[in-house]
Amino acid sequence: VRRRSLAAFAAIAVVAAAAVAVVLVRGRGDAPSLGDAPARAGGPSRDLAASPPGGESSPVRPARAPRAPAAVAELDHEPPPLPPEGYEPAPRPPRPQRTAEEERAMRVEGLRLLDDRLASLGAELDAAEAAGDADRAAVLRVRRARMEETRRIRQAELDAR
Amino acid sequence: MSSGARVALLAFLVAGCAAEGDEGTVASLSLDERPGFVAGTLAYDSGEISFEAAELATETFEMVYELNGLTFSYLVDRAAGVIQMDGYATANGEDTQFTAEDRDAMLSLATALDALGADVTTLVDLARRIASGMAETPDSRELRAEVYAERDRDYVSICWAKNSYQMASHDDNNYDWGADATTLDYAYVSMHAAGPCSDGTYFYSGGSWVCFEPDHSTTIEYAYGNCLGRCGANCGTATQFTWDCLDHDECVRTGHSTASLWCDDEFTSTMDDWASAPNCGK
Repeated sequence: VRRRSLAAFAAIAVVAAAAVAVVLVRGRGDAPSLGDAPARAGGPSRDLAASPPGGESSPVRPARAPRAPAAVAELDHEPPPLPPEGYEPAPRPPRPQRTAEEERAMRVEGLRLLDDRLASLGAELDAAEAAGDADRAAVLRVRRARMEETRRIRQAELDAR
Repeated sequence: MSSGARVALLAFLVAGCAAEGDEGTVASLSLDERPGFVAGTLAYDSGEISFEAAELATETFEMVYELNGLTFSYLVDRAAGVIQMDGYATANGEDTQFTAEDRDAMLSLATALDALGADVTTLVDLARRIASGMAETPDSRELRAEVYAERDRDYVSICWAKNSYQMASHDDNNYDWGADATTLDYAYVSMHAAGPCSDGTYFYSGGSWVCFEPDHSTTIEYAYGNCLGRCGANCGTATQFTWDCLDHDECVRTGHSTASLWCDDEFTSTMDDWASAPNCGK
């Protein structure tokens, strides 16, 4: 009887362990794993609300965990000498800020750069279509549409200033 | 293919991930160079990345990369100091983000182009600089951006500071730029190679140099290694050193990951440096 009970217990334990394993495997597969690439075909995939707790900031990846330090004895090179006592790096000079006029001028240059590239992209697209290169033409159409959208955004920003 | 085109097929060891402890893998790079244009494809262990770089006009260049279903473009007019960047889903032009696999692809390409040495065309040099820079893109960084590149305003080259200790800092959710916890008083700007820890940087702690990542420590003040201050990921053939690249390195090596949102602004400040700052030489 005792042997039968032990056998029954062992069988139950094996089944239970298998069930737990199935749950764990399914759970791992079902859960979104950290660092998963977003669906390229979809829309915006950034999800700042999904930031991990604890103050670190990445929406999909946690802070890098520190690894075990390597002892100084393992250095295979000559480290730089420590600075002499009292050494202080020179303070960084401040950088000049742009005036509103200068900012506007840069934005106008940005629009001009987009316009120039849109013109040459149009010529490249015409050439691809004329050559019957459908794959290249499809790539260029997406790129042009995206750049046209960028231009609209930048123009609206300039107009709003 | 037009006459005069230079086509190269190179097989080599990609060791760009060595700082993360990965073993190098054999990759092959095919390159098609013509006057004013270069295109290449890199097949590596986890995928393929291709790029085109073209000189569109005097001092105007465009680099376009395709990787993992993402297209990333970097259009720069160096004379005007204006850059237009964009990244989107290749298939339909929708917004997307840079993730770890994209950083790996860019780093693999940068490493492959580094293997060509210092004597390369402007286009190859730019293509690898941008790839190396993008290999540090935070997950949360919006890929469409217009940035400006005026010397000593938007970027400041610090070639003069090479092989010297300089202050480096970042800001984040808890601290301002220059706060003790986010500042290294003595960051050694140099081409010293990476150490064996996760980000390859040595810090002076307890009387010796130790390779580890301190987390906003107020007692760690000295650092060097993994080309601290160099623009782009890890070490490489390009030798651009700027304040912005130094601060970004400091951000991702003293408590934040490369993917961290809190290093977004430091990263953004480096984007113009890649195409604009001069190489500092050996």
